[in-house]
Amino acid sequence: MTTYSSAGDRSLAPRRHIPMSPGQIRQPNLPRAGMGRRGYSEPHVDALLVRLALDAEQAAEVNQELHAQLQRAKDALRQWHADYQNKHLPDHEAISSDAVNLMSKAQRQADSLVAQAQDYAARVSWEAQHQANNILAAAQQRAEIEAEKAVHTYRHDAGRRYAAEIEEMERRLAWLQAFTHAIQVQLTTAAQAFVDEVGKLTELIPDER
Amino acid sequence: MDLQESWDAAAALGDAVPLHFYSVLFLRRPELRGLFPVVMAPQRDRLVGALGHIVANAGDLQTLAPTLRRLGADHRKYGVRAEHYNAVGAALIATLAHFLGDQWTDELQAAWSGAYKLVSSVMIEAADAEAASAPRWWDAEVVDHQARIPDVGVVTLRPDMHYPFEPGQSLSLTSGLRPNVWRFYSPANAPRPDNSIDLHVRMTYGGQLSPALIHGLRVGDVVRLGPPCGDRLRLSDGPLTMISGGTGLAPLKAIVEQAIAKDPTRPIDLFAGFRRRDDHYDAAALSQLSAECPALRITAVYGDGTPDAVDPVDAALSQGRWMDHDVYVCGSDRMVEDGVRKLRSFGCSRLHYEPPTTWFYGPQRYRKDAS
Repeated sequence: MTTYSSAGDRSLAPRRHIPMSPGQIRQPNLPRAGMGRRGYSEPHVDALLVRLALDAEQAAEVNQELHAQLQRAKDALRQWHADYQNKHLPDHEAISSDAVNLMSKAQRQADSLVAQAQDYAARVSWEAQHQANNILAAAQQRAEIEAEKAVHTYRHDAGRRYAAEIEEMERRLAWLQAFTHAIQVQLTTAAQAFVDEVGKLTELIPDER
Repeated sequence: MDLQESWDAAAALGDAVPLHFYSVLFLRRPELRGLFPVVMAPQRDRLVGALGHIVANAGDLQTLAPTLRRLGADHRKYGVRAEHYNAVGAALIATLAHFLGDQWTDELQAAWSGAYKLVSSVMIEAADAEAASAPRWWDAEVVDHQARIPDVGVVTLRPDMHYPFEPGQSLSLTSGLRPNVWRFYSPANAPRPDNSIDLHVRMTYGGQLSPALIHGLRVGDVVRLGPPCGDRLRLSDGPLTMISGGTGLAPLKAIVEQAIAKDPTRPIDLFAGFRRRDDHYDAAALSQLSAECPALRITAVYGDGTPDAVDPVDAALSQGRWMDHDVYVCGSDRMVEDGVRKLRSFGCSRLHYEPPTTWFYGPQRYRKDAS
């Protein structure tokens, strides 16, 4: 949310939740504790405290941000005065070639790291899409086969009670069952792989400590 | 050595030259770093491209002026102000002097200073002129955000002030999620009374901005818009044939809405191409549109999943000749280039399409998010 940031910085502000108003804090609408006990329900009070702590943190953050903004405005004003009173702009200042090289190197590093991350993200995304398409195609293929089988069985068993609508229903039912089953199997495999990965991550934690 | 020769000598040294330029600029004026994105590689290419173009046409201000004016006006949205131009000029001269070494003379310095002064004055003048009539940027709140299919989202924005665009135009957009990374999108609707704008955002795998727009953006967030631009896709008077590939549908849909509002009986044929059947992210909206307007015929064209396999141009040509129609084509560079060639060979002459995205400066269409 943008409630607290100044108009100029709106798009850059992190999202914030809406804090409780003083009125809401004074009348917090807390349920009473259970029979035979006095006061408010303890879990609700605890939750309220957590909520209020968040609000306080957020207020402090906003305060700090405003201070920083004020400081920046002051600095900018001072800079403006310095620039225009002394007519001294730093535009022709000699810069050491070490500084230029260091700066260039840092920028190049940053560019290359981001490019690498982008490249990796692109490859992972393409692979994931490819895999998803394959899974869908395989499931559809499987379903077609099962549907044909179901039709075949129905024709064989129906004899004189044969009806085109029932055949179509059998076909669709078998298709859906096989399709769902195939997707389910894939999902279970994917979920297991995910659990394994998470397991590996938790194994890493003691070493980090 | 003259302007052109000295530029050629410097440009031959490659990326080191713009890298040096920005380092000098940011060391002298650290506050300017915040006007640029984290990743600077595409920025350096653009700088070299722009300088090359300017130096090559330095003798011919007539040709150069429109580009410079557009550059100057467009730099307002980045927060560039007149006093920044001196810093940029000084850093440019320091960079050229550094790389040309002994070949850098007082005369050369005077020639570059003079040329830069001229160029910057045209840019500043254009920016000032624009300042009289338009804000630097528009802040727009996200009022709706729909992930239609995994790769395409429709984002509805409400600018904080009236946003004066024509159907078919593009706009540049940046978000605090990726500061100073600007990309072009086209409104997919004609201007509405509530000022809201739909954008069709395709996720470029590994792109900088589009994945953030699809997965990071929430209702209530604020994005920043540059002024509307582009004049190639504008509504004309004749019968219309619209051919789109993927999210190239957006500007054509806007023009269709405009055309229907003006004259609901005008015949319109829309051929919307998608890579696959489940890539059609706007099916419900399109069928509603065609139900409301009997003169609008919509044909969805599907490929087999491989990029560029789908060809809505072929589909259009299989259903008509369109020689007396105004034909609009929008999609990837390749689809537009191939399509326009094909349509020409079939006798279509009233063709409307945007130039390719390879020019050093201009609306990069949706496919070009990967930088």
